[in-house]
Amino acid sequence: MWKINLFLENGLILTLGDVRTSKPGWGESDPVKILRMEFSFMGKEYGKEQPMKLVLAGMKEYNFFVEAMRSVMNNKVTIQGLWFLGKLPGSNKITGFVIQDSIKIVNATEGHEFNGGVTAGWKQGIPGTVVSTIVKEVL
Amino acid sequence: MSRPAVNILFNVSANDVACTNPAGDANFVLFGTGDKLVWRDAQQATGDLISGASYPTVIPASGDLDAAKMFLMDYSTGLYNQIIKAGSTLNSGTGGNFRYVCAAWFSGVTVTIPYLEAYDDSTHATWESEPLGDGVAANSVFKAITTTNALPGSATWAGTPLAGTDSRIALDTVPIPSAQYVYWNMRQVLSDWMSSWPTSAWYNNSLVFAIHFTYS
Repeated sequence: MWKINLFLENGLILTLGDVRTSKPGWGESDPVKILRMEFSFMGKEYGKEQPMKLVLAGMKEYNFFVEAMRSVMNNKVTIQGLWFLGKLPGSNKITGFVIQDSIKIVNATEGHEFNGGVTAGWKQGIPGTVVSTIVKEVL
Repeated sequence: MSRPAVNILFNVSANDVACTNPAGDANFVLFGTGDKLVWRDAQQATGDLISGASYPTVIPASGDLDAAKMFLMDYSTGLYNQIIKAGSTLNSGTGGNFRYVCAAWFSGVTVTIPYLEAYDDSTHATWESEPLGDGVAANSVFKAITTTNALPGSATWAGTPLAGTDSRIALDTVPIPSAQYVYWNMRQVLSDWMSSWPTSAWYNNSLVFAIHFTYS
């Protein structure tokens, strides 16, 4: 829960850090080609807590980052959102999800994926495999 | 990469020079927990006791007027400390074409370009209060300009109104690639129409400026 699992070309699964901490682990990781990105988290449906899983697969490239706010008036950093992005093969489109107070779908063109701006930190996927972008309940 | 540390510093000297130490140097003071940013009338001065006389800004009878002085209220010393180079010369302002005034030091990389934004309170969720434009971003009393890569370009720089994500400034042109400083200058504009605000809006202590950034 709250960790990203990367399913890699070589059959290995790379589990990153807890995204709620200051070390989510994406930036430091150096995975070989990514087949699929999965993220399990506790969501809420009709006011009831519900385990959920987010899946991105078949992307040309993947990205993840934490959106945060550092108040000038104090030294507190608050998490504003968790971004999971994928570049769709054969296009300049970016898709994915951002988990904030709700889950929003991201549909953008390259270079405009974060509030109209560019993002760094993309990692290579494997285009040609089945594309999937879903958030599902986990029973 | 891991979440970078973000230090906020203000230049309290008359020297328009870059910051040399993320913990503060001869010109820049590190903004500490509990410190505040305030704008005051020209009668207020560096070294005045925070617990002493306070000289608030005055709403003009007509037109616009830039607040005379911007201060760091340093609660570790109990003193006002003027950010001398803050603001422009518009509306009788006492600033100018100055670059190294307000600074944020990032200890490492960001995934996106960092922004300076203003919110109603520390939940960073809304920007609907009167000082932030009451729903009209252009009416925010706080204006800022990015100076990370260049001077404002004119002593009469106007800046961008600050109101949440509706109106904000990008603190650089690209995501932060490694440890570095970003800079901005800012001003507060008082307008005659502010006299129609409820008194509580004049003394709004909940407003916050925030650095909006990302990490992975």
